[in-house]
Amino acid sequence: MHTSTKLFALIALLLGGSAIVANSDVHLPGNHQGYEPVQPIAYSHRLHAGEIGIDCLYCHYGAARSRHAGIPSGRICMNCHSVVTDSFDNLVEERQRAAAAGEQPKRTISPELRKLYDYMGLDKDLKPASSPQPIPWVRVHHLPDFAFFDHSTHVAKGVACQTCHGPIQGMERVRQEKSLSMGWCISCHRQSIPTPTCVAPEGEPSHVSTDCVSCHL
Amino acid sequence: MKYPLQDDGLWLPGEDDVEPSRRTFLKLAGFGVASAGLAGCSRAPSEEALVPAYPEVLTTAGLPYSVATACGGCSAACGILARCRDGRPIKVEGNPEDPRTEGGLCATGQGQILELYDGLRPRGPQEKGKPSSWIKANEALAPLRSTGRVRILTGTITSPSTRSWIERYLSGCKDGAHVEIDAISSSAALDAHARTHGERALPTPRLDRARVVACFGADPLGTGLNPVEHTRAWSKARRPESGPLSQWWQFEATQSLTGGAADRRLRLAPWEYAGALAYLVEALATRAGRSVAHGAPEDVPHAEALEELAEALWSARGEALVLVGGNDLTSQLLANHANDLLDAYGNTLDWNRSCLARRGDDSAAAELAEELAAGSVDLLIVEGCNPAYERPDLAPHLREARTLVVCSMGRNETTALADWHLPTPHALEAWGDEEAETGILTLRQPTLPLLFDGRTLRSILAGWCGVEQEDRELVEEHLRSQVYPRTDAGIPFDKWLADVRQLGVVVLPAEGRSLSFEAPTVQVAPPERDPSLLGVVLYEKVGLRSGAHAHNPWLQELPDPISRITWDNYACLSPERAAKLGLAEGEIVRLEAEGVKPLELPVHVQPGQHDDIVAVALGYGRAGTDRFAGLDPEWIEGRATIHAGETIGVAASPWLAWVGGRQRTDTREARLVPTGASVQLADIQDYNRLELPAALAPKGAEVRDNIRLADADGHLFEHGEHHPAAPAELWPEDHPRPGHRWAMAIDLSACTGCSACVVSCQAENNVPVVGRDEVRRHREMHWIRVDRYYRGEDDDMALSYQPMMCHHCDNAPCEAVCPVLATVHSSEGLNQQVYNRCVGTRYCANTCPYKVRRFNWFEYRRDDATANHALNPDVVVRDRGVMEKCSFCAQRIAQAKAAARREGRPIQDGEIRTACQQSCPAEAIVFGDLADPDSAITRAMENGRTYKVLEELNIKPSVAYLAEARHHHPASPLSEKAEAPDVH
Repeated sequence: MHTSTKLFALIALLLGGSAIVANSDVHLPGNHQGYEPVQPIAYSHRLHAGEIGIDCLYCHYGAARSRHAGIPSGRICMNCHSVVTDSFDNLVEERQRAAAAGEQPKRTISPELRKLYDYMGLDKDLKPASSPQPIPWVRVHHLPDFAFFDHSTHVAKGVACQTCHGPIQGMERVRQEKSLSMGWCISCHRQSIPTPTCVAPEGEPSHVSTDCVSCHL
Repeated sequence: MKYPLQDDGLWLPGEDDVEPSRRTFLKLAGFGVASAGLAGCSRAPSEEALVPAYPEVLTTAGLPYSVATACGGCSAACGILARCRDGRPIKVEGNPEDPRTEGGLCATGQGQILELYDGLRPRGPQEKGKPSSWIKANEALAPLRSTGRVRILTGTITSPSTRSWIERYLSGCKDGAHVEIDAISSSAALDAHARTHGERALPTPRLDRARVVACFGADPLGTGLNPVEHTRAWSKARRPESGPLSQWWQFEATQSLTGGAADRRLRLAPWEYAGALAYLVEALATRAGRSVAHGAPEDVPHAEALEELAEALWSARGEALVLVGGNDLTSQLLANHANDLLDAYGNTLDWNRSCLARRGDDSAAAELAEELAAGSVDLLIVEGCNPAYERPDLAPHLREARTLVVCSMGRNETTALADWHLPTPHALEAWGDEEAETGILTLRQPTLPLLFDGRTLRSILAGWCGVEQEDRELVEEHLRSQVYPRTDAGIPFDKWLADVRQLGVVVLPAEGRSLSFEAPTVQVAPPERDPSLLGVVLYEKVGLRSGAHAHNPWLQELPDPISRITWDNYACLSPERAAKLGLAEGEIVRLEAEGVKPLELPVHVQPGQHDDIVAVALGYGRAGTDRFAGLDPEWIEGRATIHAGETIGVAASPWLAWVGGRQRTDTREARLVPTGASVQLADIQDYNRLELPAALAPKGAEVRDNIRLADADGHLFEHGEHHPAAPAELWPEDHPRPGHRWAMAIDLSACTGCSACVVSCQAENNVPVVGRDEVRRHREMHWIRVDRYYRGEDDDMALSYQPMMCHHCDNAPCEAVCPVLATVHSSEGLNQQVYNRCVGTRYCANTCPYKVRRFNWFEYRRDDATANHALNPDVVVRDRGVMEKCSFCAQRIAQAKAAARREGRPIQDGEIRTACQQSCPAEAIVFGDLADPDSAITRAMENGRTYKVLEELNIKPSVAYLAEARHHHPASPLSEKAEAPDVH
């Protein structure tokens, strides 16, 4: 084979390779962009955060005060789901059926909420029946051990949840929308546009820190 | 908008359903990391367990909160704040509410977190070494109450509620008695006060009120009854800026921490204490116009100094104090007499706050030994002590009790003998009330659910009395009936208790007691000793103390502040004696004495020690220390710290002697026989003197100037040649410095070398333990080391300590040489070490002038999964091949900043406390922001005593030291250029 042919083949290979990397799910190691695991309960952020419009901080209250946003315990779910046990349509249907038959409406439980009640150790009347088990949620957003991200600082400075988590209010199942790589973090920190809620207290620098120890402790 | 931020008030199954119990919680969430990951917001482990010390904190995942409780390191039971995350404690800090310690904590206290997570603790009761259960244990043991002779043998009980339950249990026995012992007995001091004041108690020395202190063989700042309290008080009187320096005279045979901190330190053998004290008492009595004859010897050593001391004490009477260590009744009686002549009682010796931390009675122990030997004890319950190891008077007879029940958290020499081993909870898991000083009560409350199935002696005895109550209820009941009425709280009990659980400390009103003094009749007998033998002094070391903490690898690897040796005990000899015997460091000698097994120990040459003394540390040779067999990193040249079946060091406790019925640490005499063998001790410091070795010393710089000295008024001594720093600057002139400028200052006048900072840093920053062999290779990983230097000789010698950590230099040499930019400067003056960038060239460590960078030569062992719960989740666990060093606790800075941002306010001065600073019992460390003109650190930097080490290298360190101020400095080139002030 001629040298020029070899060179051409090599260039073609490199171009083709980079095209594949650019247009597919192939990422650098550690980059889990697009990760969308199946969860033990088909909890819908679209329904709760989007349609109903529950504030993110109602369940992920840790985000306002702690490093971790936290996955809420089942007791947070039960604040509503001790009453709401099925989809709206099913509840209406049962009510209409009961009214027609002249009975008290019966409690209906959706299959997904049944899973929640099973983890909580509750029977069909939502009375404790067995020992509760933790819900094995699958963690979606995972930073490496040497990176320390503080939710509370970002929430306090008015950074929207969607900035890092994408359009979570439209996700039926949660997906890692951004790369969460250091370059991606830094690009935002470098822009350092002070938002109205991002006024630096006296004595603090007015830019967003790009010091290593901001994240690597 | 308000969000329900805590689980309180949230939905619970069933209306009348009670809170899920502690056990349900364990099942529900699993313990520890798993729960944090899975449950996210983990519920409080038990509703009662988590009463935050500060209202802000809630059990939100990742949010630290503190539980105020009582330390379990020693019987002083200092108030502590257990810093918890996700339902478990990760760090222990002193509680600022405790009026004794004001937030300080010692190395032992810092180390206890690792003992909590000790995976080798027994899971439940053991019958003759076989797993049993509490039900079986109670069935077998509760009826024994009425069998016959019942004895309860404990260490000093500081818990009034436990004491009352012991009494209640024994009152139902036909023949019951409670015997208290201590590993190191203070029986003589107690008995002396019983004789002179009619009360068997120890008044608490008030070192902050004392202007002149004479101390004979005691070590209140290092290994005394409450070193944190005493160090705090002492340090208040040792700052030239806040009044005249107190004057400390130390007479001792071995080099102690207190001796190192003294203005004048004179060597005196233990058999000479009584004579010297008698001389002092007579000299004081003469000044008081009284005639007293205690039989002071004609040829008392240091007569001139004693005369000078008597004058100093007398002129400061009312603010003077005489302290005597050891367990010799004559010396203690003489001390009381001296203190009475000096008007110390009621002034520098406080009867209102008498010390309850050591109440062991030697005569009661002797009686018990007799009863045991006669085989007349039916049930012996042992708790809070390890007599099989630490009490050779009782050890051979323990097995002669018909039933031996041992209550102990871990396995030890005594549990090995026991019929029943009943595990007790760790201090951080238990309820309790501790009154180690009259009227100051620290509340103990659990910081997490019980890891293993332990019960306190109080709840065991209550159960055997037929009272089935939770331990919490027993403690609360006692507080309600006994403590609450003594307060003038003026609020209902429940409200009062809620406050107490927030603060962790109850300070009861002082009673204003004074006791009348009756002069003792004492006649000092001339010492009878064989001059061809060496006197043996057994002493405690900081950290391990009398051996209760020998299973703690942090404390084993903590360098002794004086010898700087880790992982061993050794026979200390004075340089002169060692030279006379032709012995060098590390040569193994055999100590032989009548009636005891010989000890084989390596020699350590200890400057400042009396020539006729050989000193050996207690606390070593503990059974079970072969748990460290798998500790060392495995590599081809690696040598194990210890092999299975061996012990760390040699047990010296069999050499404790009983003279006149009293336990003595300093009366044995031994012959020294060289064995010809030798070992390399794991010593972390190569150069020990401030004077440079002659071969190295350039002319005009024969002395290291890293330590600088000041006179008692705080004027810095000028010395040596100055090497002004070149004005060169690494940064461009317009380099922006927009934010904070973090810096630290350390007051060498206050530092006693106690090393609490070292263990505190280790706990905070996940510093690994490397093992004896790696320490020998100078590969220890401590981020902060406390350098110790000797200056002067013999009877005119002083110690200087210098805590040394990363100086966060502005012109940092390490930053310039790193090829991968793994160490770079932050905008706030921090020298950042980025572990995930580091490739391990070690250039930075080579260029660091302070030698404070630590390299991870290996993946250090973290095999005990339970112990890993002590890791701080806010700090990375570093990997092999990575450089690390002090970060100025960057994680604490980050947390404080996050809190300030949340609340939209600037960071307050003093809000960020580094781990070393927080722990320091002497408040010697100041940390803060130089950009704040009113901050404590800015003030410290402007102090006249402030200097920086190796400033001439133009590296602009961010750490400054405050020169060591003393009344008297040993003659040395450091102080000779100034006029040495007289001791007056």
